[in-house]
Amino acid sequence: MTTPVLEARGLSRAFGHVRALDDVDFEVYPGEVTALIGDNGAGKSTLVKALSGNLAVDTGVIKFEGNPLQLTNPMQASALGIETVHQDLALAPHLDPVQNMYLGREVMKKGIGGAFGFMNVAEMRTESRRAFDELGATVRSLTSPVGSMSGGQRQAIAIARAVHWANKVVFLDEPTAALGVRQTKNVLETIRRVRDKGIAVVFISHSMPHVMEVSDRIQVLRLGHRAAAIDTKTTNMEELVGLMTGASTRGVA
Amino acid sequence: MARSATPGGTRARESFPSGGGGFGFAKVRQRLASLAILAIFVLLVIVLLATTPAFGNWGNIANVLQQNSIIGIVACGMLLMIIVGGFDLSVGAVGAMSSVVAAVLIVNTNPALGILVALAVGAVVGLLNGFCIAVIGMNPFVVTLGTQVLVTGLLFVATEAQPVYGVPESFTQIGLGRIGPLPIATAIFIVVALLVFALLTFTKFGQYIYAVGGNKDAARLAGVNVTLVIIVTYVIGAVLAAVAGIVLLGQTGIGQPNSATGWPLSSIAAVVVGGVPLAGGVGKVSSAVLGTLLLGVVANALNLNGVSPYWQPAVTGIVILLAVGVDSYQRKRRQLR
Repeated sequence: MTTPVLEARGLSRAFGHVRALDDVDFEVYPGEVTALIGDNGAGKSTLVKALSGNLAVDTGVIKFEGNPLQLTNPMQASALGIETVHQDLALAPHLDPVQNMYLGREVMKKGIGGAFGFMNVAEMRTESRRAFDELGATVRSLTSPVGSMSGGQRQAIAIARAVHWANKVVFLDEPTAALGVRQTKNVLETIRRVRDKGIAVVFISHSMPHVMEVSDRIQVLRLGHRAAAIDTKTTNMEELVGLMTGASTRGVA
Repeated sequence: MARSATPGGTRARESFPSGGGGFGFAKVRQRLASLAILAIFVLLVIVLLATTPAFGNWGNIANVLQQNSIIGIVACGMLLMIIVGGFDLSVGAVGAMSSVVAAVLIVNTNPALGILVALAVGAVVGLLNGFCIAVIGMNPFVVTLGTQVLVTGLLFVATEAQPVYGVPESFTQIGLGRIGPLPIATAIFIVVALLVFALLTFTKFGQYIYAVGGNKDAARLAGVNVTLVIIVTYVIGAVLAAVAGIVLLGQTGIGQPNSATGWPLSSIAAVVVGGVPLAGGVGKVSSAVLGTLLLGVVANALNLNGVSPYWQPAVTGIVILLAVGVDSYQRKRRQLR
């Protein structure tokens, strides 16, 4: 069996009296789509935050390609090739797609201009265009502020941004929640494309049909604990709902 | 590229966490808004040229430029602080402090040291403002109100509220002199405006100002040092206020502790009249410059036509309400559509 690219063992995190994560195990494999499902408050977003360096855990071990490490900030995760598309998209609304793509990673001009903080806009634009095309993202304008664009467009930009910088793991926190039918189809198609590049995709969703359609493996969280880790081919929607609500149980891997 | 895919029904429901969602032609609209102010300004100038002969004299125009350059310099700094999502009520106190500090040092040592120290104390106040806002998390209104009163108070204590005299005649070149036909104060304003333009348009830091003002969380998650961006922005704003204070000293030749009290609101007015919303995340230098000139020309028009100076604040108030009112109403209508 291959080594998981990212692995968590016994993660716990409490917020006051609430145990958001309670001894959770989790693993993702390269070139696979892992769906992370669970009812509201099951700890999905908390787990993603912990694994992307946005949240410190109380106890537990996180391993990257088999090596234990401490994730203390999102930059560290980025440096490892782990990117996250947050539920609220986390784009800067008044910046254009190119500026958002490169926010925090601007390409600077060479020589004196760069020393004064001048950016190489032309190169960033070309690269962004290439990245959007590669994902089949239809970004109508590279120079309009993303705040003026539709939800589908913004989602496409946010995902393209994450995929462009990630070469190991991409977390997508409910990427289809606010989208119409067509945009959802595009996002699911994008997820497959990213997986086929050999990147591990973690896909959080409340939509069981989407989970069944796109994932290779499903991990179910319930009350901050992993209720099941199963192969998508061996399960069905009724069982997943049962696992999420606690109506049914199944051996944890 | 050209693809209109989204069905109208879904688009209306979409909203964005912070910043204006829903408007489809933001860029065009913004350009139109600044064009509207420009059109009003040009129209006003044409009417004045036709009706008020004295207005067209270069002497008068240079005078208007010279008088408004100071507030223009302050407005350029205010613009940055508004884009980053705040504003600064302490610019007047900083300006007064800067002119007094510069006056004292010019009288007792030399002008270069005076200017340098004046700018440095300005930077310190900006640092304090930025620290309280970004690190402690205090509201910009409260912080800068506090530093304004604090700085003014300290200034009164240090000077016993007495003006500082004795600045040599030569120093007034900065405020009153000319390079050819152009007032030196205006030349300084132009340089400041160009620097701020370059900062906002071409540099990484300028982009971070927009990113932080638009969505702090997004900026932070993208790896932007939000705290540092806010602090540096407030330092730049305060240093520009200090620059304005030095120019003011050049115009009056006297370090007045109780001068510049109107700067905070005048500079905010100039920026918002230019079409920059206080919400943060948007704004251009051209707006600050245009707003400054518009308010300056209106005041000049009243003067030239013999209207009592008491009317000036009232008219300025009307201009602010009209300019911002029209802009806000358009914004609201667009969102309802």
